[in-house]
Amino acid sequence: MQTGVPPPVTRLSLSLGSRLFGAQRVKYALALPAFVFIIIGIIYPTGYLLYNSLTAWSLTRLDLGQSFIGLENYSKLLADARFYSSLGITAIFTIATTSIQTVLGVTLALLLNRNIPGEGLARTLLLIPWLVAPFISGFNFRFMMAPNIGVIAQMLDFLGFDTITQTSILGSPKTALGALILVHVWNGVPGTMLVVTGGLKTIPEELYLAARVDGADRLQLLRYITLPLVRYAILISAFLTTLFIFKAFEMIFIMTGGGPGDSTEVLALYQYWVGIRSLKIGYGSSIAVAQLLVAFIVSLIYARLMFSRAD
Amino acid sequence: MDQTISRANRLLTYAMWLFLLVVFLFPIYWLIVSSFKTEGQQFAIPPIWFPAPATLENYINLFSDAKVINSVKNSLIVACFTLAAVALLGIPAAYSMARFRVGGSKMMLVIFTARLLPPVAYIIPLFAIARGFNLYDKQGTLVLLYTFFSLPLAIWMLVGFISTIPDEIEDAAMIDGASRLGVIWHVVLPLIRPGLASVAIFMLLSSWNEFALAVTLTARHARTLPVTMYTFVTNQNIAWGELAAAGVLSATPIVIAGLLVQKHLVMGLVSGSGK
Repeated sequence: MQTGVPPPVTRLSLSLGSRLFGAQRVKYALALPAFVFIIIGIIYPTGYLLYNSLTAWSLTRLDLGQSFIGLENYSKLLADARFYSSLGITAIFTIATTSIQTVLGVTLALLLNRNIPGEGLARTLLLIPWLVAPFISGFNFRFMMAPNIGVIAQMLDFLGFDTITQTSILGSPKTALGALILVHVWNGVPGTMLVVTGGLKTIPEELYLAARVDGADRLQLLRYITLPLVRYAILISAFLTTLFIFKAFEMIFIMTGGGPGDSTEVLALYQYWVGIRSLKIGYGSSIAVAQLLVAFIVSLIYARLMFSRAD
Repeated sequence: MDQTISRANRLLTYAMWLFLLVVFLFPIYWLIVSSFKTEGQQFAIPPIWFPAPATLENYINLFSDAKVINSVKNSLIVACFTLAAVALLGIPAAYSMARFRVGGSKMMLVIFTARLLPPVAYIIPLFAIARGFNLYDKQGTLVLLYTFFSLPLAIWMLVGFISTIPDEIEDAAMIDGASRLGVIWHVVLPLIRPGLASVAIFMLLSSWNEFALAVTLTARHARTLPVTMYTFVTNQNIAWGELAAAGVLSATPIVIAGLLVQKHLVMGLVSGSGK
């Protein structure tokens, strides 16, 4: 860590730290434990995951132990229809949730950015769905969407959508994924609103005044001043939403468990069923690696988008 | 944005806000009233919008359930130890990174990467490791993992806060004979107190609410509250009232704390980005 000639030490005091280690070493000593912890924490499980994905290892067959099989899990994965199905569902789920949440979040941020009394209170109250833990909301929505008797089912009945509720919202492959998307949007939209509001508050008032003097109408203000200036905030929150939704697990696990059939089985759930419930560590690991890979690619795409703008 | 909003316009705005709030908060309202309903009232047709008389039965049942009490204890232990571990590792590291640029941008990138890793993808190796090292169903295992998954965010936020303190203040203290650790404890930490509070709340929040790892890595002994709540459902008879009551109890402190540090929530969210 200490390469080359250390810079001259300016000894300001005879503190305990400098007497024991010397001032230069203190700064490394302070950082070292956390750095080591983080680096080991990344390398060890990731390495172990990669290694496991190259082995045949099932905890239901302990007699067989763990044996190295090279890329066999991956070739199996590439021919696995259920993997493709879960990849597709993950894509639909992530893209739909992120787009709806971003559009709705920006809209809410604009609607609430009015400089009239009560603005802060309204925004605070809107944050609550975001602060309630996803697992609690998962139970709550499962309860509200219970077939026929849940309150949402009854409201839909009342509005004349009884064809949906008779088969139950979460129990029908036609509606389950849509319901999960809406619930995730409900849970996440305050976050988007918060980030975009932060962006809105940095826009100087003079810009609007100047544009209005030039005769711009409200729509033009939005189109040519507001949106371009919060573009960065919108991108950031869309990125965070994508990553967050991509790894979404608990609300799906609690509300549908991936069902009915495989209709809501995202990657996170598929690898859980294979690796944890069926105890096929080897094959499950290859699905997890695929998931990490996709997360990595998504991060790269967003990084390019953001840094090409920020330069 | 508009300096002069007409009265009609203002009224319209308020009406719209009210509508939004009703739509967004209805599920929360429903969770709360459900926790005060008897079993018979839960699924009444038509729905009971407001239970009268309200019952405290669900809360009483909850508090007399030894499993619940035990898992609340586990949740508290795990959350507090995680917070302590994050503080012990994170504060000195963040100080060193902010003040001396130790680790430089490379380490910042590592931390950024660590923050983006999806914990779900690590369930399988962690499960295998936990079984191999006899770490299954232990509170300490959860503390270790939660510390790992929250440390990057904590360091990221703390570096931001510590950077706002001018060097001169610390130098003055050093000239007066304070040690480096003394400066951190007596000068730096008091100056970033609001920031510290929000980092602490973030840490408590994420370990208190964590579900996926806890459900995979704990059983009877070390179960946290979310996992115990899940066992309410897997039984044949789902105790909705108690589930709702547990949800309300578990969410209330978090919501209050979260609203208290509202200003810093954005930072916590965005801190994994940019720069």
